[in-house]
Amino acid sequence: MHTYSLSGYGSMIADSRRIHAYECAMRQIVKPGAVVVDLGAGAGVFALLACRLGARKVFAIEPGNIIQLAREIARANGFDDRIEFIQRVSSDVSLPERADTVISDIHGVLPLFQEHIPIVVDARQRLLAPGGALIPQTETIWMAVAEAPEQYGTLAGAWDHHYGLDMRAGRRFATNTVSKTRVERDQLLVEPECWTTLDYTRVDNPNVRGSMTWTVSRAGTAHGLVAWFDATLAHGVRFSNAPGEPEMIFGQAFFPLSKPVRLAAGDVVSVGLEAKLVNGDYVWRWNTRLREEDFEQSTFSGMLLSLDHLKKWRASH
Amino acid sequence: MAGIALTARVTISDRVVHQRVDEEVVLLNLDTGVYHGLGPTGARLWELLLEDESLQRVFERMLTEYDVGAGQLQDDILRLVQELETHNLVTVAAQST
Repeated sequence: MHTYSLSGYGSMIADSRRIHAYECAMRQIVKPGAVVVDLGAGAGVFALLACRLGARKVFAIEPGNIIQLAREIARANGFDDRIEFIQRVSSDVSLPERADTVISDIHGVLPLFQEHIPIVVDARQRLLAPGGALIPQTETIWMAVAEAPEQYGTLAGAWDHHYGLDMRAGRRFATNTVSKTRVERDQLLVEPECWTTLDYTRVDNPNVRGSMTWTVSRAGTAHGLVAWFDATLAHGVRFSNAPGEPEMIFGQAFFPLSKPVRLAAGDVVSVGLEAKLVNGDYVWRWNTRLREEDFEQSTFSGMLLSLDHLKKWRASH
Repeated sequence: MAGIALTARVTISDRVVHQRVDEEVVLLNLDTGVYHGLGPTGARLWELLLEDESLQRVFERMLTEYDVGAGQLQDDILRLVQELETHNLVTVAAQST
């Protein structure tokens, strides 16, 4: 189970672009008298907005202790009689009636984040009424090759020679770590490619594999791959985290290369990207071919493991 | 050990990622989401299989590195490869090329 920090919840509330987009979608979908599920309700903003739009009943499901604050906020806004707060993991929740709308925003930098997909699938199957609506409806993940010396330096720069010490052993971990970043449009060396679209009305598999091939459109040094998502919350209601778009809380995900590679216009770069949900967290693997280089990287290789971990995992060999 | 011989060619599955920790190796099968651990000897076998798919050559290399009889080492290697295959961590072709 994942919960955010209080400052994390505060930052999500402060992201007015995000809130306005969700409110716009809810205004289109949530009708007076409707039953709504706010999945991963946090401080309960979407539950409150649903009430303001005339929802008869809102089930605000949130496993974290933030739900206590959400109750207090609901009282302060006079909606506590219509919101039922349930401090459970949604997969453990049964409702007395199915919802006309299920709203969720369970993201990290990308929608493939912890148990987000299984949670939405379960809610769609058990909590949503036939013909009901999901917000968001679809999310598309994009990727591009980026020139990002600052991001790369921040990630890998510490793992070099410093103070007369050889710290390079850390570099292989650092370069197998996916981190939140923000790049500008002019840092992209290729036109973005779509990796996958998650259609929440039908998705059932949390694991995604796919490949992309780009032709480099301008010469530069490739430091990594940058991924982001665009969301369609309702018909005509969208937001994008693409480089060049106004900043939102989600940002972009930086997949560093094992080492920077100088590219010329016309060079071909191909990547096999895979996200596999293992024990509640995603393992990402990105195998990149560019110029004469082949890099095989994964967040598994970036995990700091100890021999104690190994003792737990080791079989009889 | 039935079915696997030192003449086999052993290919590590491209569905497996691995990480070395000291003298041991932890493996993750991306298809099953299951972790597997290899002790020092298993880790050395894995490392050699990454370099060379010929089980015979891997056996010969390990024979020079470990103070063990050829028969015992062969049994140990074949048993471990069998187990790796059972967990779909490697594929085994009967004849080395």
